[in-house]
Amino acid sequence: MNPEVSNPHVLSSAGRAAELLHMGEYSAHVWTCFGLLALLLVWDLLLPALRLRRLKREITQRALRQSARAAESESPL
Amino acid sequence: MNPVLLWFHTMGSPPSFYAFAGRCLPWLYGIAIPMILWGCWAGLFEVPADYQQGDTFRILFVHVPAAWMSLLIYGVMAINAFIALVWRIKLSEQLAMNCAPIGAAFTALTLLTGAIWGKPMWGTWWTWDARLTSELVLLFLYLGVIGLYAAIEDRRAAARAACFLALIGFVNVPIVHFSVDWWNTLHQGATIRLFGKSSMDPSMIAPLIALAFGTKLWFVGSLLARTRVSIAEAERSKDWVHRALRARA
Amino acid sequence: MADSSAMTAFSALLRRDLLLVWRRRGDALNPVLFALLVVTVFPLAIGPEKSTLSLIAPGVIWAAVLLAGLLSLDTMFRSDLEDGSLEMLLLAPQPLALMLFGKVLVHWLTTAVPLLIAAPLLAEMLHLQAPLLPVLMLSLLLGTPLLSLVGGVVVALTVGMRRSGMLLALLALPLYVPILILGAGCVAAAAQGLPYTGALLLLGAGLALLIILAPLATATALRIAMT
Repeated sequence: MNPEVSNPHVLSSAGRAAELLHMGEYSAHVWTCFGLLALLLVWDLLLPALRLRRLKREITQRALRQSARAAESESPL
Repeated sequence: MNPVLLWFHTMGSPPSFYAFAGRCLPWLYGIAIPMILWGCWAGLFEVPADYQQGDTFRILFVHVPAAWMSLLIYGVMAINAFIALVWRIKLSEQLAMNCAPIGAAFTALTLLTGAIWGKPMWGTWWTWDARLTSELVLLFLYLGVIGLYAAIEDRRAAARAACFLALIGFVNVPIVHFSVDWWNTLHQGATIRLFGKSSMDPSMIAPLIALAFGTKLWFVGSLLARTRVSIAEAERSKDWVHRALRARA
Repeated sequence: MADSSAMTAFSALLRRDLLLVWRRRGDALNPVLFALLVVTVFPLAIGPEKSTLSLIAPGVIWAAVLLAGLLSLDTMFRSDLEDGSLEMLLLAPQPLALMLFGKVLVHWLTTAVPLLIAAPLLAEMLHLQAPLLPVLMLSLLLGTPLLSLVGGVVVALTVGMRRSGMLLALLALPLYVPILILGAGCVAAAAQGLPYTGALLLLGAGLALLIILAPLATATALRIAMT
């Protein structure tokens, strides 16, 4: 007898993959939830990094402006 | 001076905290990420399907850790808020304020996954049971803290006001849960228990614990990362910030 | 010595604030008007069927009272903030919590008591069953001071903010939820023939506690917000 039919837990790897992705009628529900978790974690990871990068850009820009102003005030002399 | 006290005092200095947090981050994320990944994988693929709910019960692996996080983060926020108000410690103000967006995100996740789980479970997207309703109020509390902090110009006054609000909210949460619970028992037909009749299969526990611990460690990392940035932003004109940021390039 | 000066200041504040409201007594009826509007909207939206309306009557009346109170919260400190008397109050030697209790009392007397008087009318408009009216009135009598006391803390935190309307509602709601649930819930329980005195006693206990604690919290919040 075909083992896939008599024992539902023994499947070929292709069979298992298909089963996992489909997961009954509510697969969309389950995958959405895990997807939301992934989304939250990615957002949470990126946000401080982006803020830090923006801060660094601000500081370097301000430093450039200050040195440009300093150079300007010296040149007419 | 005793070393623990010395460490606390050192952490009060912004550059020390910035450096310390930066050193901790790789460790925290380094442990949290594998734990979360394993927990998700095991919850999705290893644990056998529930005979009553099929595969939808796997949502529990996201919903339950998220719910625990939403409550834990509020507790951490409240403790820091208390320290900030009583001892006026600036670091505690920053820590408390940075807890709020993370807490709000996990609360929203709890509500969303609860709703998505509700559809297959009870045929409805939303239910006013004690847990979900209290979670909704908790979300409003988080949003209130975030909103109040954003609405006041002076950063330290804003932090103090928001910390006070956080403390009031902390007292309010058990009261809300109790009153909603009572209200649900009053309207008999609306009583729905979140976990239903299925009990926990022992193989479910390991992934759940992995996800619970993983998310907690992740939260500590995230809190340190965000607070670190807040401190740098607050002290942006100081030399140590310029040096610390350029050093990273 | 200090006690008599505190009580004198308290009664002086009450007299002054009540007089100020009396001078603009038209405005004081705004909450009642709002509650009337809300109660009118529901039958128009849901349909005039008596059984439906009498079912939702306690909840709608409670919701109307809560919303009307929320809208009027801003008036607690607004005029005093604008003419500088709020700062004077903060600097005064009299206990701030006592003075603020006076302000909350005035707020309740001028916004909630008219609502209490209008409540039987609102009940009739929604066909509330006659035996429930005393329970409703009692729940409102205990609940409205709670709403004013708790609202005072929230208004103090946001005092001075120009466009604080929605933020105020967001901050007040989580604190209002238990009061609303207990208040409206006890009438609902009475409607079903279930025991309702427990909820009333809880409201009463909460009131006894918050009469002391809320003004203290309001004073702290005001000091934080006014620095």
